[in-house]
Amino acid sequence: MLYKLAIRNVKRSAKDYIIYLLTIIISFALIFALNLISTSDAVMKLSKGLDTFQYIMYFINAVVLGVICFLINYTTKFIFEKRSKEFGMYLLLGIKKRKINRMFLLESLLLGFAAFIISIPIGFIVSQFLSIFIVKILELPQAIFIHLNLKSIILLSIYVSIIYLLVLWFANKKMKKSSINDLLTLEKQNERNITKSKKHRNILFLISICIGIFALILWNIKFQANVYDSSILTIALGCFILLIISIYGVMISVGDLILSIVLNNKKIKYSKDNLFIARTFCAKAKTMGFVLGTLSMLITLALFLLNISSLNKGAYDYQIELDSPYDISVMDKKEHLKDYLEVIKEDYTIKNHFIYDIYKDKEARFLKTLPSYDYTSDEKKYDSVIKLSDYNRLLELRGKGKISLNKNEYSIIAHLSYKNDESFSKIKAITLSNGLKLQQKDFITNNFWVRLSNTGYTIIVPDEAIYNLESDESHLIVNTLEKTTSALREKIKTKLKKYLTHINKEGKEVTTYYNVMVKGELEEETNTMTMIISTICIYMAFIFIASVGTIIAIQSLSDSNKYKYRYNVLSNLGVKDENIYKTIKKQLLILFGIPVLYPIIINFFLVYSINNVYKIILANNGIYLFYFLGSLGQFLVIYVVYYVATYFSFKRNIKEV
Amino acid sequence: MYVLKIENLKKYYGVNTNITKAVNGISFNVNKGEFVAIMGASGSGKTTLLHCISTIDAPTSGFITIGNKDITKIKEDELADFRKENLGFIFQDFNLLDTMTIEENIALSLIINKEDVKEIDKKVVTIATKLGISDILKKFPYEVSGGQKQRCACARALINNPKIILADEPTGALDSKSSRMLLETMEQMNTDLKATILMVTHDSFSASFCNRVLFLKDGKIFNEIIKGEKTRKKFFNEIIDILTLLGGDVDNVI
Repeated sequence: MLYKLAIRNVKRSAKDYIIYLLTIIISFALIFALNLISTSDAVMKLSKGLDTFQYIMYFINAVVLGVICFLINYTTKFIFEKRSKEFGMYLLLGIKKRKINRMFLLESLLLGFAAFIISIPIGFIVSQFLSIFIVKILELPQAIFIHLNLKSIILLSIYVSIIYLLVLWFANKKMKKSSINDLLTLEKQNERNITKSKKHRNILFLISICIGIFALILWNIKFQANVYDSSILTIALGCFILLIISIYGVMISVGDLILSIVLNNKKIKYSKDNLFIARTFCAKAKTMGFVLGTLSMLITLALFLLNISSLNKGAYDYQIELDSPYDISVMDKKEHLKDYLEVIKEDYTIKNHFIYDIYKDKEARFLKTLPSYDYTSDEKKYDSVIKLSDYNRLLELRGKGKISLNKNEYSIIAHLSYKNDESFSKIKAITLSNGLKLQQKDFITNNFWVRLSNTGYTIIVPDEAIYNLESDESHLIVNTLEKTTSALREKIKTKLKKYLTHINKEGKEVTTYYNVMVKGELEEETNTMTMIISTICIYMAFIFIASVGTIIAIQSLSDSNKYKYRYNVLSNLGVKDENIYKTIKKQLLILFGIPVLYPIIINFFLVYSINNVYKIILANNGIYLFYFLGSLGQFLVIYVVYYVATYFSFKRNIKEV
Repeated sequence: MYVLKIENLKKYYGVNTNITKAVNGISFNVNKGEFVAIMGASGSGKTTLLHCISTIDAPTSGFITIGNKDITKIKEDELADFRKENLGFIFQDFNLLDTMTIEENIALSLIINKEDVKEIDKKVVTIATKLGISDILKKFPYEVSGGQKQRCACARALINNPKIILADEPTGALDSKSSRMLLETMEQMNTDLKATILMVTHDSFSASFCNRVLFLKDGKIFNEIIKGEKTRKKFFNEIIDILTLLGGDVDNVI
């Protein structure tokens, strides 16, 4: 009977806690899927960087398990409190505490076990999708099938066992501690207020905001200065701790602040259902301030992870554009270049190729502004110059629009960091070493790529202005029909070793393999890293967001039974259903929205500061905004699903007779 | 022969200077087969008293003897068995489990304590028939009326054949018709099934069904009246007179 009762209760709980169940199923499935991937030999062989992935996953899983443990513990505690009266009743009927305890533990275990079993096939399917994702990112020719393996199942069952051991231990302790009287009245008890008076809470709010601002300013200063400063990790960690303190403080005190704003302003107070909603939220915020703080912290972390993921992806994409916009680029003497072409032709179909020259302007007007001028050897003291027609042809091959110059004009294309250099960027008029005077038309930073010339900037001049300038080096760029791979570079390195090595003055052999760049090789390296970082960030962020959504959903749905009565009264008083739904919608929006607001603000400033570091490797100064909005979008997609699900369940609960 | 004996029972709440003396030295006996009501205004200590007797709350000092056992000395572990064998409960808000049918609710404690299935069945049907709820045994609590729920609770309280049934405002959530029916049921339980009942109430009408009424004020027994051979109407009037003397809770008098 005990088991029958437990199973019956599980069935009932399953209906009430469907959102919670789905969340833990998906969470377990994700853990399982990533385990399958990280233990799959087929995947690990793909790329060199991937074995680190396996080790990182252990660490990441520990964090994720912590969060899931928090979620399950919170929900179990919640279910326990909801049902405390029932347990008290059992005790009164003469059933021993031990038995009741066993029944409750059994129920929790059944729920957990069901989630565990269901998560395995789902996780398996998810892993296949992830494998497709990996194949696409690494641009592999064929798909990889992820095999089910025992190791992953065992690993998952260990994880789940750890979670449940902890959770059940907590529940057991709670049950043992509570007396029959506690159980019978637990439902009616409120959680304790953390601070007593309203004034204290308002002060707490102000102090917390100040701590938050201080942390953000500190963070900003640190990310302005030299990033390679060794103290940066300590400071960043310190900022995070301060921010977390600030988040808790704000979330504990925000309810009262909102309420006092609404109460003190008659216009707001008596307009529409504001008073009702403010009162409801305040009551919640007061009693679950600490939980709200934890939720906000998780949201902050989730948003931060998503931002990091986008910034990283952006940085890597840009890095590839910056390093190798063409499939193959070679820098060598003009007469050698046709040999390179021959080697490439052996394996690849050449779509197009182009050879151009870079000229020297020995006036070195730009180089002179740079600190490196002093220790540049005399024969290298020049600025690189390219003909307008060559440059336009290069742009055309990348599918970009041409630029134009008048007879006495020049443009300079340089890395963004040069534009930020004042003495460099203030140069407008120049005189070439052939005596020609030119005025600057544009300072171009977009479409810049490192291997355009040997220096970090190149002067673009009209074709006719090039006379009398000495040619410095020749470049070959090739686009192929097929995707290039790292094998091509290896082949060029061995076949044309004679061009790529020379003996220096000391008689040592020097290799100049860096003169050959193959896009495929670059992509393999960066894509692996990007993939690992993105996967981890998105995975963690998802678990965090799902946990937050679930806890808010459970909280609001448990209230829906209480609200049923209130809304019935409203309905009997003649309030239309639509209006009631509108109020519900608003009420849930506030409950879901308030924990998100502060994290969004914090994250904006965090990302804004990080951008100071990233902007030199990102496509442009403002792109972080785009990434920030993108991450917010990703976050909202998941979060809104929880909001909508909660709204419909809430509505259903109220409508239920 | 008494079933329940209370001696100088005290229950204090609070700490240091801020002490509430909810029950302040109460002594009385309940004999076998009695139907006793405890009345008093809100805050007079009647629920606390009942909680102490129910073993829900531990008293500060004094003795409570049920059968021959001093329940203040029973260990937490053995309390469950003690409750199962000696006590039956009826609450204001029924406290039925909504995942179980009426039948299962009545039999719950027997089932969990693994008694013989046939025996359980027989017991449930007998009691349900006596209380007039045999036709709703297969229904769930949410499918039946408040009065029926409370009679189900009565049946659950009776099933173990307890030494004493403790009822906490059993008519509190019922309309007057259902209240009357329930009280008649309880009267029947008392006379026909020889059940000993201790009921806490602030409703004079409910109290008029009992053999004896104890009045509490400020944690002490203020008065005690016995029905004897009086009619219920006369007894009811007597109760009202005493409540007027007690003062305070005039609302409950009318």
